[in-house]
Amino acid sequence: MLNGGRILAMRFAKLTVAVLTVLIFSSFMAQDLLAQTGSITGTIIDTDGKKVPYVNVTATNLASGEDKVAITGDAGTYKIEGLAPGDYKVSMAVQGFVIPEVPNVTLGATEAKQLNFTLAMTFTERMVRKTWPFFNWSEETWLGNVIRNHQYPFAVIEVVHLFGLTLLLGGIFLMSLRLFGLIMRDMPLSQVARQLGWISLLGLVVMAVTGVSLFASEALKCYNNNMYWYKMAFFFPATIFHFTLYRKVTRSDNSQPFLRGLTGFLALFLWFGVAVFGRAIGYF
Amino acid sequence: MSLLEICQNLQNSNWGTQIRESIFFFPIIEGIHVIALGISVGAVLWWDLRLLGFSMRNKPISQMQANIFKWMMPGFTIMMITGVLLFWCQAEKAYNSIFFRIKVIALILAGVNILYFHLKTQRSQANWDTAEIPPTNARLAGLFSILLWAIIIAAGRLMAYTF
Repeated sequence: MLNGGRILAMRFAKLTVAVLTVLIFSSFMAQDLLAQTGSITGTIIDTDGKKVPYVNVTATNLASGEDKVAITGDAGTYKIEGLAPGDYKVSMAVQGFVIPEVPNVTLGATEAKQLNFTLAMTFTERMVRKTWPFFNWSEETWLGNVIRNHQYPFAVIEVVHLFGLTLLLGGIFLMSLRLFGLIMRDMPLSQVARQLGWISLLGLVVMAVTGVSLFASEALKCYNNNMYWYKMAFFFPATIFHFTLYRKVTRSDNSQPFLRGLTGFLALFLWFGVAVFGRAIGYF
Repeated sequence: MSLLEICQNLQNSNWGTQIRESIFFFPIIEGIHVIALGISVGAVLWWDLRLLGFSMRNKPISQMQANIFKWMMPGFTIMMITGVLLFWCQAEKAYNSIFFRIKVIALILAGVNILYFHLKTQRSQANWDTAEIPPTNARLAGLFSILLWAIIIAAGRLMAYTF
């Protein structure tokens, strides 16, 4: 038998639970009614009609300056929720595409606005994507597999690559000093070039052989590494320059001082660029 | 305070931590270190090749020295400064790295080689200043210099793989 006190206590408990339940539900409803936030959703495709993932879409409230961000997934869709009514500036950030100008959006209470975009791929990105099969193939070559699957070859080849750098940069630096007229003035330019030419050429050959090997072992990593592309943006012009203008000017004894100075400056600029971004590949 | 404790204190100092943990500072210092390596060791190499009689044979050695030494020094100064900064931020790791120890020993030996050459071998330079192939002592100085710098570069690069 339950006594009167316990019955009273149980009734009180039941009442408390009921009141709490009502309170919790109504507070959810009240929150919805009071907040009345809207959302911006949409799909982002490129000009070929393919979905574009990893686009950062930001809605900035023009009155409060508050930002809300969403990122598109593999389906190319995004959803920015919890936006208070007001005027918004919508901006996008993604690599390799031209970002269109988006007019400001006015969002009403509880309004769900749909904003779809079609982005144009930049020329560089289109070219880079075309090279992907080559990178994939490089990594699958015998050389790439051997270096990647063993512990020591990579480190050893990297050391030899650095030896090559010393020869190449040393030769280029000294030759530039001569081009600027700072050293060996009593020796004709072409003679200095003959003494230094083989040092930088040897360095370049060593760097090319070891560089190709290192590349093969991690081609896809390079493909996704911005620093690698910056390095190549310096490397190809540097190599062409080395065997054209640089070769011609350093072998001539009657070129203009201005042309010599320019050649020396270009050589240092291009090869330093290759070195700096080459070193940076390891950090990104 | 032991050497290890000094290294630990350096690594854990404010500066050391800031360099190590910054996104750009460390790679930039490392980039400068590598460029300075190319130009300074590259210039030393040319000098060594002259001593060995492989390059610039018709140029008196004293003139080689007058021409390239003042351009080597800024390179070495930059290498020392950036090298000290890089060491500072990972001194404890460097202390425990066999390659760092090899690098330091090779650096000291390279210094001894330079001192011996300047103080001893070069005393008789007047006799062989214009020689196409200098005497054995001078050639050995050039050979040691090339070998030691190769060891310094290799150990310096390999160090990074043990960190």
